[in-house]
Amino acid sequence: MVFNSFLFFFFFAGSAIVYGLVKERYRWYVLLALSLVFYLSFGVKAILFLLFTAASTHFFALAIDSQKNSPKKEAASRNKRILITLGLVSNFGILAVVKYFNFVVGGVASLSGFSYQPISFLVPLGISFYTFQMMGYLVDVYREMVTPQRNFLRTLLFAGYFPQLLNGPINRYGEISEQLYSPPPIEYARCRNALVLFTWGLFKKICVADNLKVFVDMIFQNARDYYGLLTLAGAVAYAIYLYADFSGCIDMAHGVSSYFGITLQTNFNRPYFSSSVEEFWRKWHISLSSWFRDYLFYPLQRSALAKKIGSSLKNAGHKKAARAIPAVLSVLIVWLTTGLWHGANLTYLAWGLYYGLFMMYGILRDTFGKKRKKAHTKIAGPLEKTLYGLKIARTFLIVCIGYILFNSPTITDAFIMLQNLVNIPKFLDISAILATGISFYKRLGGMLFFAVMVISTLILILYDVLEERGCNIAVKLQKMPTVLKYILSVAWILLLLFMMNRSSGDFSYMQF
Amino acid sequence: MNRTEIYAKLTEVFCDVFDDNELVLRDDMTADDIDEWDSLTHISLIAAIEDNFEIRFDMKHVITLKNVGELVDVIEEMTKGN
Repeated sequence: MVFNSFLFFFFFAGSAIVYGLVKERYRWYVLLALSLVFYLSFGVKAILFLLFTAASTHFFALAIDSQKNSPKKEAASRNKRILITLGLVSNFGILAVVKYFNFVVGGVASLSGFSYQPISFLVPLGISFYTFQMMGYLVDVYREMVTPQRNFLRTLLFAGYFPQLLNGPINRYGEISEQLYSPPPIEYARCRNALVLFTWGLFKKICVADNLKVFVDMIFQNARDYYGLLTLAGAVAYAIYLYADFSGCIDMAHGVSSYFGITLQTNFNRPYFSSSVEEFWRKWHISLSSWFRDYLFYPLQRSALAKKIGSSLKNAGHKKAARAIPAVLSVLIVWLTTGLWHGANLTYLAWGLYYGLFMMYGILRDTFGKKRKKAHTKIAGPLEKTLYGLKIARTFLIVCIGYILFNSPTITDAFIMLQNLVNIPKFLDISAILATGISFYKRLGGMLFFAVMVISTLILILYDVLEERGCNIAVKLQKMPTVLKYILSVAWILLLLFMMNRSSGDFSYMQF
Repeated sequence: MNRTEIYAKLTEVFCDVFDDNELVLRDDMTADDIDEWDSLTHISLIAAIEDNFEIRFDMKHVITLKNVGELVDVIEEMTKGN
């Protein structure tokens, strides 16, 4: 029952009715029941994993908290450390086995010259998202940033709240719990805006992402056959596809959730308008990058080893290196982990390393190089504007090249694609471009769908450009004459219904 | 230490970490107000404050402090009696 299915529309409509009929203080029970039904629609076995993660987190959170008031401070502190370690191992252990066991054992076997028959594991949908969310909660309890939940059913709701369950965003207990357990009253304006947001996400998915995916698959599945501009076009199309697909899904999650009065974490902030790789990662998949910052990067930076390296360098008179070297090492670990979070594949590891190297370069440049202006510094004058535009284009190109690593079926395909990208003699092969264009046009289903794809993509880009320039489109639409609003609404719904019949189904990030 | 003393010392730390001698701190100042204040310099800043004030922040403080005012509050609390 994915968001972009008629079954989900009926489920959501039914949920909204039941939710509205139940008294406010019982509404979180409805959310829990709906979440379980939603997850059960993907199979019975997967829910056992979710239950185990919720139960173990619940148990360890309470056990850690019980040490807080112990009179023996030293023993309590040691016990807390043991409990958080066991809790994290218990959570991460499941993820490690189902997602990474074959990768690690297969890799070791291959290096040792042994043959290995991969074990087939059930990988529950959304496991990386809810596992990380629950590990974050456990660490927050350990750090005494939140009071642990004593009602298991409430913990289960936090773990499995259905709008966020399959694709995130990864939420923080301290920010969402109060809303989850005591949702605000239903308001017409909020519900209307929620539905508009849901349909905007649906539009991104079925009008932009699903159509672009046809072209993306053509290029990436046959990487060896394409060169130069076509390879680049494939990477650019993937960039737009992934943004439309993932941010569309997140918009739908936000829409569904805000219907119930619950605000989820922000996940995107027009990332492709970033003027540096660092800025891109502050604007793309924000809930994941901030998770890695708070739960991995900061602890690594404040670890005894990092401090030891820093002090040694400082004592030797290398003040700047004392700051940069521990950070460079931490960043490398964070980015390799971020790559592997997406899956057990060398392509993701290479993609993580790719960004890790950019981030490491950024640290070294900022520490040892000249002082630079930050991205948000005000830009005035045509020359500065042009330079700023070029920086955005450069960052986008870096991101697109990263996607070649990220989306290629194998690491060999990725390297072939990168080689083909810089094949100068074949860079502008007009006959190949025409043949690919015609083939794509046919696969897409003809002029109507081609027109829908082009116009929808332009609408998405225009929307983001205007929003980036400070124009609030939602307010502008609100101010339109009522008749025009109705005509637009009807046309919007008809377009979505028409395109729904072609929807491919799954969202890209569901696989993670 | 009182707030004025903390502010004076904290300004020196900020100027050193951000390599900018013209910084003037305010209670409502956040990472958005200072060039270079990102996750990396945040950690360096925290470490420099710890060294200069001889205190030790919890990870809770590292993550949740929202502005300079809250930072001064925490330092004031930790240096009480000094």
